Amino acid sequence: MISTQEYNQAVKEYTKSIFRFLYKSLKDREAVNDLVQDCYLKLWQNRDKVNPLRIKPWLFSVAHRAMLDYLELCARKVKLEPDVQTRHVFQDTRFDTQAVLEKVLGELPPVQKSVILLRDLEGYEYREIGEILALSESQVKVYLFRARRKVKEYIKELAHVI
Amino acid sequence: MKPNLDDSSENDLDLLLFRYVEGELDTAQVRQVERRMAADAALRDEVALWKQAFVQEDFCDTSQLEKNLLVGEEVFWPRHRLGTFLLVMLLAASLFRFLPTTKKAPIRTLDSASGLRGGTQPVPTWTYKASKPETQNPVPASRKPPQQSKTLALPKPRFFESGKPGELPAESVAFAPLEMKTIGFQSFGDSVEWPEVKYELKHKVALTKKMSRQQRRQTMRLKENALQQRKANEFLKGNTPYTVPLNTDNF
Repeated sequence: MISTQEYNQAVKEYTKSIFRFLYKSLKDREAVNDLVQDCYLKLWQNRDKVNPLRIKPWLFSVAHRAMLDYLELCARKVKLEPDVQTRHVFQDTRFDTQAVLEKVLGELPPVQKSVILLRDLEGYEYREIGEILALSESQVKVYLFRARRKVKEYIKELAHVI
Repeated sequence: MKPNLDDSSENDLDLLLFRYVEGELDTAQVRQVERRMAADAALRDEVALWKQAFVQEDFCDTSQLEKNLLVGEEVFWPRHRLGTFLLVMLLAASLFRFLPTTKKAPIRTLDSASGLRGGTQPVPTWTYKASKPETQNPVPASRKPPQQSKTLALPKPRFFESGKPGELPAESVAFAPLEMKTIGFQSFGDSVEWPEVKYELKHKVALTKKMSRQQRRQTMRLKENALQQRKANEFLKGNTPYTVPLNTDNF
């Protein structure tokens, strides 16, 4: 059972992490705000069932599921305006690695994206990531390996082009 | 099919470097990789690329979002529902002590010696005290009347109209225990004068005039009827009520 004080403490400690985790995946501030509020609403509604020591992983698992639902919903929607395709022009020999990383992350499957974000941003262990995403430890390692390799290959190609 | 990390195919180097950057290698393996890196520049570049594949945290302002999510703190509220309920009941019970009670009209006895006790206006109250009916033993005629007490002339009680002074009527027997004490009486000659008696009521009964709603309505109706009757009588007598003359110019 979570008291009001524990709930408020969780809001102060984990809101930024949840927001960052979702924003890296979705890139839509308004949608991310809504999803974060949904996560905490569910925490409040289920405060009798949640273990006070496991609030953070519980929030991340709810956020991950909310993100997947949101992506599924967006995939069903059809945009009325055509996508404007921009040419990738690098005028400078140096490039912003983080910007490239953001682009690559957008191309990763949602599960791999979540695994890499939980590992790098939150510092979770494989077992903890597995608990949040309902995966085994070996599956987490595999997804993380594939995600990192893809990012590394993308950066390598970009470096060769430049 | 789950991939096997121990598979020694093309991914050996990638796996090794992945495990190196993740910190999963033991000390001996780390020294081996570092020795190879020192000797091989391409390997060093490869390791640098692997390290660049780490996501770094960005600054994001979530202060407004946190404010919206915070729930009001409970000042003092015990966890247990039973405790909360008992606390609420105790508070309610303690508050009842300070609720104003309905003021009853004060019962004052008219004391001849000390005058009226308390209050500013004399409220004639009946203090009616009777132990047993004294119908069998009327006051003897030879008994000299005591000194007249200086009491207010109280109105004649209704229920003593048919009774003799000093004699309890039959209705009063129902108000037991009651004790009637006649303090003084005048001589009864041809004119029957009601003596000034002092009655003490043991029961503390307030004699303030309080009409019920029904009585008030009845009174109002009676007054209206009386007024209408009076108007009708006036009309019959020929005293027509004054009416405003109609101005035909307006039509």
